[in-house]
Amino acid sequence: MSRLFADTLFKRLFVLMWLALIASHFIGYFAFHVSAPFVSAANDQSQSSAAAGPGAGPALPALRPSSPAQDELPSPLAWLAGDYAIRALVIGLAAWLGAMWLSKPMRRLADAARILGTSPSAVPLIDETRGTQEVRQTARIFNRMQQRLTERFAARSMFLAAVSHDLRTPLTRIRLRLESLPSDPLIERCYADINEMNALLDTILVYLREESDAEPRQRVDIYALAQSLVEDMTEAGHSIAFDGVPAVAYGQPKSLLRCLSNLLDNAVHYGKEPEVRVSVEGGRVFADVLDRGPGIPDNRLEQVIKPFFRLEPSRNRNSGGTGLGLHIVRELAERNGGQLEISNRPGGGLRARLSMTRS
Amino acid sequence: MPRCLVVDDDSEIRTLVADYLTRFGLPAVAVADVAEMRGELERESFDVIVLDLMLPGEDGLAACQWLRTHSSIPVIMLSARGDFMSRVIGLELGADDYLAKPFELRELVARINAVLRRAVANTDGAPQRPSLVTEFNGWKFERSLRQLISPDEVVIPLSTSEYRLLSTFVDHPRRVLSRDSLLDLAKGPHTDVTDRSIDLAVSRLRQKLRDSRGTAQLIRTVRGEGYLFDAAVTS
Repeated sequence: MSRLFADTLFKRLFVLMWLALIASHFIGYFAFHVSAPFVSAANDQSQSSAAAGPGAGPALPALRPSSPAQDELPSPLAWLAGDYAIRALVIGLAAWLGAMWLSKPMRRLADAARILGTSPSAVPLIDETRGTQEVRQTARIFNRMQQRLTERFAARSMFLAAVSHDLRTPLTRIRLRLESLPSDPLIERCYADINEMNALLDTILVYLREESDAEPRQRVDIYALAQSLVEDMTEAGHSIAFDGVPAVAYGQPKSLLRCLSNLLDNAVHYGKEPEVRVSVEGGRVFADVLDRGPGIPDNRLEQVIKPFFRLEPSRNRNSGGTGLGLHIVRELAERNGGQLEISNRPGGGLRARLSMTRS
Repeated sequence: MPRCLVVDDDSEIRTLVADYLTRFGLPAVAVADVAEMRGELERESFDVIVLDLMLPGEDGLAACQWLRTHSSIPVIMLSARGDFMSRVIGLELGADDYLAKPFELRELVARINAVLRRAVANTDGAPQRPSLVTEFNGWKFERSLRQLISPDEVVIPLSTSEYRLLSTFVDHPRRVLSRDSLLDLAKGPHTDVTDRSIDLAVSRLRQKLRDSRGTAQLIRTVRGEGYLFDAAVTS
């Protein structure tokens, strides 16, 4: 019994169409019979060939007066056009309302999917008590999927924290044992390996942690951010050119710093004459990291952003590359409403452009 | 001679660390967990505690909190998690410094010495423990995040040298600091700071501290003497 009164899509559409039909009849009737009193009521009952047009099914009583004998009436063609115009209007209105009904839950679903795509959250994203049965069922399924995804993300983070702890403890032990030995070139190489393993652990953890990182979005001085980074790297012995204009973007400060720092690391490792430029254009803030290195073959520009992709595995290993740097930058940039663009520069070298929302 | 207490659940790590510290003039006692740490603290007095974050039973964070309410011994936190949040939490709960595993023993010694130096400097009237968020003239200085928040709510990241310099200024407001004392206080374990680089860092810091309202210079030059941080600091 409850199934009979349930709010289903079929019933909503049925009622809407039925109402549209009745409305079109009433409006048509008033338009032709009330505002045009010379039309006799008898005409209602007559069935003319004109009434059986494609817009009016056999169930629809004809509204068109069809007595050609009355000279003062407009031509049947004009009647037909007027009638069709009214029906088109009413049906159009009904279709518009119906489309709103139908697309509203879809829009809600799309919004929820977008939120889920950027940050898994534990709060159900769709209201399960609104809309028709079909919509509610979809909401329930979506919410359950979201819950499972969120749980899986949480489990993975836990697992990684545990792995990193369990790997770093033996690494610490090895490092400390080595330090108690007399200095030796072989030991120096062991240190380098420990540092490489630790850097890999760091990168992977950062990569996986970003998903659950809830750093608040703030207004960030990108000029100051880039300048601080360049200064720190200069202090560490690199020579980096810096140029820019005051620019404030909207985003997560630590994530944006990580983006720029990854790009600059690449420029320092693989290129020559690294350079950072901050510029503003319309509603965007740009941070360009430039170098004069070998660049990247045009057909591989897309590939280098993919996780664990390395251009030359043999070369990158010694510089501690993990193949995750650019991928992390893109993920973080997108989460901050920004973009990463990589292109070869005229005259050689690479340009990595990070664009951000201006504030 | 300053005495250290090393707390780590891994027996080899704590023994190696304690041996190394002892060899470098920092006699150290090693214990495995928080309960043993308390017992040791009751028996003897220590000048610095090296505390692992993840310990069986009561963990390092809780131990750090307990230490803060019961004593003022400086704490250096060790962590294998190495992530940004555990660093922030560690410092917020009262650790004086934070070192990610695997660490260099030389680095640990440098950090211990820095913490001890600060503890000595603190006895001459400066605030006991630098608080993590300090405010002055509408600015906010967030130490654990190494950033400034301007009066109109813009995040301004700081470089390492700017951060050290501002920390020093904020800890000694309205006092003339000579270049030498700035060099001494703002020096990191691995950096080579010169008079010239102090001047450079000051001018950059001034640039960052210039807000849209064009308020007066916060860092004043005192001719022939050094610099003075001219603002009331609240934390």
